[in-house]
Amino acid sequence: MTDTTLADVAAAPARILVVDDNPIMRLKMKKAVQTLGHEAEVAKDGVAGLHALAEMPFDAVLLDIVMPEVDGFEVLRRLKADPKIRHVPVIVVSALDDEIESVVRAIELGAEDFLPKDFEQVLLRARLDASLTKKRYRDQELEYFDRIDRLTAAAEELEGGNFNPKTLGLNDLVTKNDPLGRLALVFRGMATEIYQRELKLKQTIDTLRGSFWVIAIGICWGLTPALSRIVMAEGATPLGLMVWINPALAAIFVGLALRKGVLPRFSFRNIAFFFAWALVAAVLLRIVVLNASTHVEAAILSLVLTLQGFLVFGFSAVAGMDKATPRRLMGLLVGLGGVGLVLWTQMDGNAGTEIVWLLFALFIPVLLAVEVMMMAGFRPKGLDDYGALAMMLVAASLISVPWAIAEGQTFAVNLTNPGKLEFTMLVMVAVSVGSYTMGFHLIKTAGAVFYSQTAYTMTIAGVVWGVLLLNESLSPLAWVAFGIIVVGMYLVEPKADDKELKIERKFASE
Amino acid sequence: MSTKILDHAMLKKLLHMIGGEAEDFDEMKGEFLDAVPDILADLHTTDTDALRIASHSLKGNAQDFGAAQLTELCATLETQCKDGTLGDPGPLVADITTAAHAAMGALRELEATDLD
Repeated sequence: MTDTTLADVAAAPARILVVDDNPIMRLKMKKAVQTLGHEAEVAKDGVAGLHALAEMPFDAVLLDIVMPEVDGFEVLRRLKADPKIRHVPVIVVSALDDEIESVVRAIELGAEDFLPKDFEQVLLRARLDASLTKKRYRDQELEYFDRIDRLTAAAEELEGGNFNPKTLGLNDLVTKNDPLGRLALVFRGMATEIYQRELKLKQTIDTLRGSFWVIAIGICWGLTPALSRIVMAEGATPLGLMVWINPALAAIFVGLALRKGVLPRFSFRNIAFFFAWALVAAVLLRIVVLNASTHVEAAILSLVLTLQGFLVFGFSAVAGMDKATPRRLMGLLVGLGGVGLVLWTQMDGNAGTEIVWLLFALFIPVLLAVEVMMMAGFRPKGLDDYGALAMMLVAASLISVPWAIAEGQTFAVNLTNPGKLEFTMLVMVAVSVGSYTMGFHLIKTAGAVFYSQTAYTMTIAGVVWGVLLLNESLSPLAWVAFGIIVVGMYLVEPKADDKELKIERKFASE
Repeated sequence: MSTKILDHAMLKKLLHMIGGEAEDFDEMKGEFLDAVPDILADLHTTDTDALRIASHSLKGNAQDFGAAQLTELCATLETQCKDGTLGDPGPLVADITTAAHAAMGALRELEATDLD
């Protein structure tokens, strides 16, 4: 087990219980035990002795046989019957000359050894040392078996796919400098290595998956400006558009939620959340966009929009909601560099922008960031994606329809004989359904900071869709910018969630 | 006087056993002087078993302190209790009491330094 010698084991100070009804004998044995360097406790009779044994741990007992009421034999019987203390060695103390039968009986009852009442100090030392050595080896054996049990339990955990070194319970086992300790160390080392590798792999997959969603959402939302310009050309108004699109979206998401049976309950907290969300996303945002777009150049507006990522990053850092590291900030800056590159090629140097309107346009990324943070941090617990979106869009419709009517911006659509306007509006609804669904999913799985990169892809996609649908020109530099944005995504990486990491693995034979 | 009643060789052995410190020896001495009168009182009983335990107890203490006569008298009483040969314990208990008081008197006058 260990390199400890017999002498080392026996010499270590021990705690000895002296049980004797005679006060002079008790004191003599206590002092004799202390002289040998051990700690001694005394008990004045058998009952007190058993009580002391139940109260605290002892390494050995010096037990008188002849005592009134509960004698030494009875103490031995009860001690050996108790699994918690049966392993404590007992040395019976007796006047050997006339008690030889008693000694034999005590040993038969489980006493480790005997000592004459008029013992010599060397004899006490020898008897105590022998008993303590046995006891300590037994203790080591028990501790060894306990460690084997725990190593086996850790192995079973590994087999079950849990490689997280923190939950394997090996941390105190590895500190022992013996073969079992070294085995535990190797065990934990291997588990850590596999765990780290799998964690890295999972993170890479999460980043790739997240990046796919960011691009997909960007492509979807990026269609909106181009589609808006098409419907405007067909005679639609921004507010009138909301009268048709918001209720249509609300109907679709209510339908999807009902199909899944996940419509949220109508609590005050839920309703307040949905109206606040709708107010930010469907009212304030649209007012600001409508006003800003008429005064600020489109490319500049897009650039301002991308500040959303930095605002979310800042909010997250302050609120401690999402991981805010220099690496992620660097990723956002790289992404901004990519978008800036594209917009630089689109910039119209002649159209000057008033600084007041530029500052006003800053409300757009602020509102977008507020919306993202609301969804990431204040979404009522247990809300399903569809159910939440359905309720938000119902609230948005309740706000936007009366507003558009009040402004006199409603327009008619021809449902019996749909034309370019109607088809484009249908595409807008489909695009919104896809974008909302994917966006909600991405915020939940990758976090608000990672999601906010959709502002970049949205801007780039807006430019590309403009080229494809409206024959606008695109510089080859835009493709370089795409690469730069992907590098940014790698740096930002989705929020890590290692609690769910479970690795499929089987060591046991079938 | 104490030399006859108490065997110094046994007392030296006791002193060595408890670590050789005069202070500890005085504590042992005090315990003996305190406890012996109680044990002597326990001898005034008609219960043979209680008598056996008390004589057994006093015998061990007398032996440790080198009180040879007291040890011998206690051993006799204990044996008689065990064998069932005990008649009237009165005279034997009286002898034990006398011997115990003699031993206590001798011990009172003894200092640990006398054993050097």
